[in-house]
Amino acid sequence: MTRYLLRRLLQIPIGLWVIGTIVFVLIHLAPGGPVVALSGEYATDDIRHEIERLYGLDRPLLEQYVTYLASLASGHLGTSYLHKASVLDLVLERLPVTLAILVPAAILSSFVATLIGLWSTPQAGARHRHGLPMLSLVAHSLPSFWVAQGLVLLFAFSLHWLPVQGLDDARRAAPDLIDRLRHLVLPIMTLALHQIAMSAMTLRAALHAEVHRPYMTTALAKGLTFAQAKYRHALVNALLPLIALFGGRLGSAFAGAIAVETVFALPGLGRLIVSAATNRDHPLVLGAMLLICLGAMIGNLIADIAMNRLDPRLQIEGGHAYHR
Amino acid sequence: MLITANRPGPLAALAPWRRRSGRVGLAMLLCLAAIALYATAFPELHLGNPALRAPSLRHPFGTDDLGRDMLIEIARGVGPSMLVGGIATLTALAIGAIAGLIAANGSMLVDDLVMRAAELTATIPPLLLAIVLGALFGNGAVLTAIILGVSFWPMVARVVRAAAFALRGEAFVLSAIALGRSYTSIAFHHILPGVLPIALSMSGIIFGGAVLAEATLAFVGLGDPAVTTWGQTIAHAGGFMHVAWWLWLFPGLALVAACVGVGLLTDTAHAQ
Repeated sequence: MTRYLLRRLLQIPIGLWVIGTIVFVLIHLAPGGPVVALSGEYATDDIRHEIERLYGLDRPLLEQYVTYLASLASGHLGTSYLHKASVLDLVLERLPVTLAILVPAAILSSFVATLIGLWSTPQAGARHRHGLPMLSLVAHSLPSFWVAQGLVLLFAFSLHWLPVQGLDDARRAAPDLIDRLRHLVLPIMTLALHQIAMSAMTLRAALHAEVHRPYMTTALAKGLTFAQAKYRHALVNALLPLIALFGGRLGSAFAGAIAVETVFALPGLGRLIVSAATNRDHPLVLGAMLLICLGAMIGNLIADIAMNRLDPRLQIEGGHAYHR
Repeated sequence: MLITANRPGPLAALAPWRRRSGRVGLAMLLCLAAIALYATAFPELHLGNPALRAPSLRHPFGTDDLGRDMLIEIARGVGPSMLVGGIATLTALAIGAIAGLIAANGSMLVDDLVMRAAELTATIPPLLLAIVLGALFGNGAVLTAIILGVSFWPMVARVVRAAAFALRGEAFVLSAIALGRSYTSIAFHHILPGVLPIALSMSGIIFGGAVLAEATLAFVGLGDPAVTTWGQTIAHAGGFMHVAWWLWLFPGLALVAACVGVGLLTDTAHAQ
């Protein structure tokens, strides 16, 4: 376990190094190279030289590469042109808003997905419910921004139950917790709806495999009903793929927040990235991507560790049973 | 991705009309194609209509604030969406199939390297990669499609590699080895045809993912400004949603129909 953990921990800096190198190469490959990327197409020669000097772009490429990696290693992701602030600070400042919709959505969706997964798994030999894969395909094909607008149309414009967008009611003098929660209901619902389909399908597939195992027969012979046996014995074993899915989808969850934050005008990480991309604020776009990749890698690592702790069988092959 | 037991045979993705779900998918795509044809047949209906009219016989999907007919507006988005989805899917299938075959037939080290690269690619969300590379290299639709395709290759590579591993012990592969065929020849002539149907059944997931990612890009204003896409149309609808629900409803339905249609056609539901 320790050896495996060390190997996995080592994979994170290696992964970041690879992505960082690719980013470095891409910046130099971009039309006009980094100077145009930094100064825009219409800058005067004076400004170009100034930028070359300022960012060390007149130095040899190898030296630039080493400097770039050294600054990455020390946590300096650069300075945003638009905000004139450290990229790391900007991301950390916006992160709480994004987490405030991602975390409740994850909890809500796993709860609902578990219920759907349990409900849709029939006893061995019984009729299968064929509708769910179809429903999941449709749910998976729903664009989250479109669903978000639909929810706004229904709950905000027609029913007047919830606010349309924003984080706080601008008419209030001070931010108020209840009001803020009301603003977060629709974004959380949108994100959760999107995640439920995938989680439910994963859990269902795992449960379908588990209900045929001999221990289920034992549980039924012991006198448990099928529902009890499913809940007490099969569910625990079927949770592993769901945990793997969770760890693997952390990065995508941040990407999914981009559209939802745009619809609801929430000042989160997603909108920060979009505005950075619109304004060609390269350090911010690239820094945010590196941080999200780091987050995704940590998510994968935590999921792997959790699975190892939960299922000792995985340790036999050095934790590779799920990748192979 | 688990292949469930009720898959209707390995050729399900290749002969969609043999399945009921495949026929439904085909019908959905034909509807979209019919709309696209209607738009090219009657381009004069597009502009200069009364603004913000609810759906009627003359304008089945209503008109928007600029007096554009929504049916034709949506029809103009069929081509770009299909193009993006198609290019992304082909890119992902090509890279994924080759990488998967290399991993399955190469040495342990090669296998490890390819699969680590796959894991690394999988940590970068497709949408984010498209935003980053779009910011650096421009927002062209074809480039976006290729970027999205590249970000989906690990999915294909994993499935192809697993299927290729399973085929390696088969008698026809062993006899090819005994006949002295090269590894490359065996991989392409004997293993690739066997893994292709499974790889193709992934194409629905990739197509849907790519089309939705492109729509999201267009929605947040990072799409190709030169083409009309459904994401743009929906973003435009946002400002008038409270007075004109049809501006919101129909482009979204078209988007869902395209993704579900291709998903049904390629039997994605059973490949998930």
